[in-house]
Amino acid sequence: MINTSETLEKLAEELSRLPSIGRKTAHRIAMYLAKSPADEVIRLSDALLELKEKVKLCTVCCNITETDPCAICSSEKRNKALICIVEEASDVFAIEKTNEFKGVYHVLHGIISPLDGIGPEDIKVKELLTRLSGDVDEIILALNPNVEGEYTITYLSKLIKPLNIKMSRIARGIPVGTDLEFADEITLAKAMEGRTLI
Amino acid sequence: MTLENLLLVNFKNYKDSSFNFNSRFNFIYGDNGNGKTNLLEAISMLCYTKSFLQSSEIECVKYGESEFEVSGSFRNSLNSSQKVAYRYSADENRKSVSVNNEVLGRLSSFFGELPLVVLAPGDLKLTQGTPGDRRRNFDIIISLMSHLYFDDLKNYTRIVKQKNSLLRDNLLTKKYSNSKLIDLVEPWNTELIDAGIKLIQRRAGFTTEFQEYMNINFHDIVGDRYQPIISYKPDIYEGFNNGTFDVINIRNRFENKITEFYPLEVKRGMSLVGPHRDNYVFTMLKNGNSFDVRTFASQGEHKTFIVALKFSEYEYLKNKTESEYKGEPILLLDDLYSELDRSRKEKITNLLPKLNQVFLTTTDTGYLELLKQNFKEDELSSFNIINGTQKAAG
Repeated sequence: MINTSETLEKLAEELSRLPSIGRKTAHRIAMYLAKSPADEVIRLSDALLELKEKVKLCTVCCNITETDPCAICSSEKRNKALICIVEEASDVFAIEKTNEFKGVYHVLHGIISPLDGIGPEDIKVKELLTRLSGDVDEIILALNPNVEGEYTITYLSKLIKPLNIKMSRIARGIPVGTDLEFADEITLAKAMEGRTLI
Repeated sequence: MTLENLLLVNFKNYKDSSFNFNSRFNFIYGDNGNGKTNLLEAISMLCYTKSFLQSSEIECVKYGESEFEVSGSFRNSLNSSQKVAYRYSADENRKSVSVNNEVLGRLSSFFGELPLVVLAPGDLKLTQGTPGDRRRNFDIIISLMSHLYFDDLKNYTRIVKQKNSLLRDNLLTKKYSNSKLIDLVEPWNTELIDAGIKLIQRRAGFTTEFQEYMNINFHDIVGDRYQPIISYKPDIYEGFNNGTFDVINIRNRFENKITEFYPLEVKRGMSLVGPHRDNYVFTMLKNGNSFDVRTFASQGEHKTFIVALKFSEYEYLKNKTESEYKGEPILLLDDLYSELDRSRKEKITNLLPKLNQVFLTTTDTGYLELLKQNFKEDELSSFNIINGTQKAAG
């Protein structure tokens, strides 16, 4: 590609650092912005700055919020003694959509993964332990079912065990609305492993 | 399952060539360096979504070009056809595999759909090479048969990588105190043992079953003089006896060894215990004496052993996937006849008609006469490969 504008290249490079944006897409966005009316671009840049100014982490659950504590942590309808541990803030949105969970959350902001240079000290484990010294009855671990998620569950459960708090993990299995015959064999095998008594 | 045709565009030394194959036997001949093996490699890339020679994609692009495409139509036992296309672009460093013009999202879920067994000169390392060479070979066979094993193997490999990364980083940075490091390593060990036991159980079961196939195929080529034995040697249990598997015993041994080796693991900065260090040992029994194939066999005996092994893999996969629509595997035989004496060549040739679809490469057209005695005229097609093109069949 022939480099026609250093400024455009610079923006494209910044954009390409965003998740799921490759170099080609970054160029396309940069090109689009270069051709957009000035007020549209100013609105975008204002929104970016405002984001950095106003959005912070809740000091209780580490979720993304504009008020501290966040709306969930300060709600009186929520059971503060029941904590659901998730990897990312986006997982909170996913669970909130169900309208079923009445407890509060703890967002780890990552998962332990030595290959990515992430240890327990790099995610919100310390904050979790501080919280657990308070009045907590039960913990639900809702982490992704991969090698790193499993490890983090084992690691956390070892830390939490001496505190005598009830712990559980979300079930793995067949998605609702799927016929058994269409489920892939790995999902089926895991569902067999995690079967429940009736 | 059979491969009906193949199209190669800018693949290695092929510019733009297409082939229509025989559903039984394909005799591919030509001098060295003309592209016979490249043709087999292309077939393996469609079946495995990877090259059996483990070439990187960029090595497969024709000199001076920036992308290649390999595509072929497979017909399964239900007589329905699947067009598989493998494309790679060096500029974008991106590969894509499509089935019936639909690009696959996860390649791993396709693995095993098109069962294939390959015999290549590099397979001599199965008897002569490292434990890793033998593990890799059998891991492919077990994975072709079971998605679940393939998934367990991927998870296990990831766990070992993570644990290695933790130990290695700490060796360099001394970031964690001794007690903190133990706290961090222990959950990896828990995962490694859980995932590792599944692999050991599968490998043990496989070895026991596979031995039967090996006995028959080896006997068909060599006769009664020798009996081949494949022993599975799990890293955590050297004295393991094929056929007896006791989960509690295995778990205890695993836990003990991993605890025992912990100080050494910290010192070396890597995980030293588990199925990633398993071995398979090949021995032959002759007149009641057993000897190690690796150290005591001649070149010809190595080759014989490997041919019997590959024929056994074929039969094993065939029986295992019998109930499915896939049908029998395809067999690629790269330079089958080298290192073998005349009587073994004949015995092996006599076995070829019982196989499904075979692709055989050789520099020696003399074998064609031998093959014609075993196949009907319409069951055998020959292809003369000259510098990446097919010379009109003579």
